[in-house]
Amino acid sequence: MKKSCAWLFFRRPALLVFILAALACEPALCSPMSYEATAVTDIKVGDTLYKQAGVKIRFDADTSDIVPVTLPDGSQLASGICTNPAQGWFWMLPKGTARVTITSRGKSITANLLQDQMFVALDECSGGIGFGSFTGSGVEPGYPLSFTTGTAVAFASKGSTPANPAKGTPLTIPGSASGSAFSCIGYPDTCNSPDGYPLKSDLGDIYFYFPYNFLLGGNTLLSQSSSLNYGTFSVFPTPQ
Amino acid sequence: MASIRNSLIALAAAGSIAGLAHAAPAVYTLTTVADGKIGSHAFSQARVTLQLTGDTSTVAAVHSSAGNGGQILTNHAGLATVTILDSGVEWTANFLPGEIYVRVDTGASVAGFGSRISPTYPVALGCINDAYPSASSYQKDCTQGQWFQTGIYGWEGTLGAIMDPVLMAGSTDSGSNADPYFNGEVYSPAMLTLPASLSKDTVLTGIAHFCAGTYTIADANSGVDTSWGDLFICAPSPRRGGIRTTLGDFELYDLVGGSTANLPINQLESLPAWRLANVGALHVEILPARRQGD
Repeated sequence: MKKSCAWLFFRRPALLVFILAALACEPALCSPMSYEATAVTDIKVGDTLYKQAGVKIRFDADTSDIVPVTLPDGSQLASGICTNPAQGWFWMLPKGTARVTITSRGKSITANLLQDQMFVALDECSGGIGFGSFTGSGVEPGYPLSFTTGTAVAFASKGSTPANPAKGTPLTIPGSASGSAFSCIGYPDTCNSPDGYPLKSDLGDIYFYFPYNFLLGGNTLLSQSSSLNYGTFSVFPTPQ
Repeated sequence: MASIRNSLIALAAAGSIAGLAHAAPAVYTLTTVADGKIGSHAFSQARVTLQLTGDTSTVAAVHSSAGNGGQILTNHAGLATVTILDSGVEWTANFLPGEIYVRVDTGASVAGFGSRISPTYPVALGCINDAYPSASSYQKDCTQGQWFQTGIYGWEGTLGAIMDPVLMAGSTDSGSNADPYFNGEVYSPAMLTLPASLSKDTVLTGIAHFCAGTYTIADANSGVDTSWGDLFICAPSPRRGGIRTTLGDFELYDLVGGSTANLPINQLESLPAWRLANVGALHVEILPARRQGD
């Protein structure tokens, strides 16, 4: 098996311009939507490290804010793999409010992330979905928590054909999927330590770790199977 | 008379001390995505969380005849709940007493929740995805672990990795001598110490099976890649009934399983059908022991 390399271009901010203005979208598809991921992992909040904690990330947004990832000339980021690169395959939802709930040793805490740090990430071509972030290293599609393999692949590719991507619609359709969970700075090439890349919250800096893995040289991802940890990703209308 | 009473008190105290030494509150939480039904509400590809809150003192062990031998660990005691997230609505119910239990088979390296219907139903993680022992003799699902037939360990969650002979020998390097598919990757330190247990903290992950009976077997013309197993789907099995909850009978079934044909979009690599099936994680969390008066 070869690893997915489609995210490679996505995480190079010098190549990209993100159009944050709302795209025109079908009224029926523009609605408050929530995105939620679950996994059991190690996470640090402030000075406290929670090992093997139940972690839930919730992002409340509006589907009208789904935008393509674009190149400096305004064209959509191409995939060298899918057959119609001009139409673009990479989508993100950067506007919204995010919170992280950690359950450990019978107690739960919830941290509210400060704005403009995290986004919902979608790679229709490779079948990747989850939460990415804007960190000091640029744009990270695989950090703090993203998924591939499992039913996440079909979920992220929903409605796409080799000639016509679904143009972000997998983020507008309620449902759930499961897959391999990644928390990687440098995805899809490497999985570097998140130390030094804090996500700011009202409870202090948050760091997501990647404890259960299978890497080359301690940080090189060789395949989509480099993660031994599994989790879920759900899309649902924001409860009113 | 007084000496008899004192002896009984001493025995009771000794038993109590022994119990305290070994017992601790435990929470077993399995999260996955599945098809199913609770009461009259049917759901498709919804997030399902099963949880048993109990105590390690009631973990039982019997010999496992699967895999390389080991133990079947179960815990039947405690409050068991199910929560289903379906289109933003959470359905939460308590299981009636004795309806489900948490189970880890360290011989097969299979973990999940069992019931009177089957020890691997409603959910089992890490099952063999082939009709085992053979297509003609496949009568019960999940009597063996997936690693057993494929010999691949590192691609099958923590349950597969736990069975890697190189890891079990105390090395991280699974390299060429354990698995020809690997290229020098090593297991992370946290993976090395992860136990298959119901009495220690752990995270047991694997491909999920949801089947009260047996899966159908993939037709040769189905177009799916069966290299990770030829099982196809597990349809609802009404004759077996459901598992009783406070919201009515609870059932899970698997309409995805190994049925996903190679996706037209994901052209980076050809993934086996069971690599595109649902997966899950069983979180075993041991809480600090309660002190008297807590």
